Amino acid sequence: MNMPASHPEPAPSMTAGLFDAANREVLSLQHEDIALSVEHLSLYYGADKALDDVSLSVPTKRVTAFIGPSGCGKSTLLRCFNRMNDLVDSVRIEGSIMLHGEDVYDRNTDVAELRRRVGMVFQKPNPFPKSIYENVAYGLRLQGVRTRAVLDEVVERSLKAVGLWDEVKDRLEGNAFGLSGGQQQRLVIARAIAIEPEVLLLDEPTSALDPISTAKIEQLIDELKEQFTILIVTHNMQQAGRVSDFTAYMYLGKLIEHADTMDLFTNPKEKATEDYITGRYG
Amino acid sequence: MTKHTVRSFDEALKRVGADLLRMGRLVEDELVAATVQLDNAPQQPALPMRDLEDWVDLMNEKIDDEVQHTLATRQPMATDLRALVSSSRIATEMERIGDHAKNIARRAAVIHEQGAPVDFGRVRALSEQVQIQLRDMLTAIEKSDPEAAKLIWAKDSAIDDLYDETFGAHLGEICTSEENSLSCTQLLFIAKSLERIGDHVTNIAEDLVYWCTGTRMSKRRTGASASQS
Repeated sequence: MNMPASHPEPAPSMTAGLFDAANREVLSLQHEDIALSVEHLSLYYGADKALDDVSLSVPTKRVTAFIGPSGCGKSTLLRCFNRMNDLVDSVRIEGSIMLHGEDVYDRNTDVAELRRRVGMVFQKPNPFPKSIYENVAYGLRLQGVRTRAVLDEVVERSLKAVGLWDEVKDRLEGNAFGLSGGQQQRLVIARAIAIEPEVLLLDEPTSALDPISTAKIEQLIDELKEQFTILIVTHNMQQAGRVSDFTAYMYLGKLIEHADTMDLFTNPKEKATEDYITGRYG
Repeated sequence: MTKHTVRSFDEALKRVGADLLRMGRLVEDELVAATVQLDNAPQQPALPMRDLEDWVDLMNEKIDDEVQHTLATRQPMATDLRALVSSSRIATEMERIGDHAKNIARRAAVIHEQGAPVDFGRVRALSEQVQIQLRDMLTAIEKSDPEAAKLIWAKDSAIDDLYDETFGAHLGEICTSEENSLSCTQLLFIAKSLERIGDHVTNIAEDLVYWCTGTRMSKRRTGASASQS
């Protein structure tokens, strides 16, 4: 290959990207639009304190991961965001959670409407014992949508969004239980996004899946964050590192550290976080 | 630091650290062996240069393998991740220092073959400064001491100054003495290799600071050598 006789200075546009990459801006919550704001939240199961004075802000259209050892309160915190803990008799809550400025625990809050705005996906895929089509259309039917064309459009759009359309378009009337575990989990996510929530809560969504299905869900999370605010609880720290923008480390009901994910996994500020993520725990 | 729950993880990290220091000492021996040649009556080094080169290459490969294996099997985070990535980078810098030492020895041999009377004083002085930097750097690695690394990093400007001086003096000789011009050209290359070793030591200092603190040092140092090309 012939070398040029002289090496002109590269144009600024050629070096700008390199400069940005070398000086990656650490994400700061101060510059984010906040979807969920938690203030001094404590939660008791009877006399047991499961959450202890947790305060944090969850940014809009970002992925926030919650990590920590079993029993640290991360799933309990997740269930506070759509008031799933209301279903537990002995629960008592102090503090507040605001969803885009509205108090989630206000006595006038319509819990059904809250759960439409804040969808949830669990560890084990839980499709309804219905057809693939009816699983996705379920939320819309609850809202009173009857028009077939509207239902068809939403079902197709939702299944396409989770990358399931090509796999199931010829058997939409087939039973959802006929799908593999990974497909069922994507179907459940399609069901959750069909009613256009603002927030998606994912509670260990891949812990029951094989690596390929896990990769598909992780890819999906990457795509869905363009539209939704996503909160994910995971025991897989590499997964938290791969899919999230922010990570919160919890221990014994307390929020220990909440930071830009890359920063937290390469240079955590708290020794407790460092000990946990480097495997110096317990 | 608290030990890992899995003891073999601690052992893997210790092994990489020990191998890195061992490689550093071998590279230091290479530089000493090369410097021995910068004398009008050079002596045979304790270990032949070729043996040292082979050992350095082997250690570099061993560290590379250990780092890759630990990354693949442990998925390290935070300080462990920085330790492994930095170790790999430092090993590469050390290997390049070894290459420069080899070049210095080779060029010294050419000068001796040419038989022209040559003053090795300046390059030997430069080599001694570089050896001190390298030795101090290895101690800083052994003690995981980022503050010492920062001091070593700052001292590189003195090596740059000495290099400029050496370069200017031998360049002058090339212009004025036809008899010595070939040998002095070799001396210029030797001086350049020593200056580059100094740069590799500063890179190691930056890696150690990142390893220990998680923060990166600025790449820009004021007073860089005027003769650097």
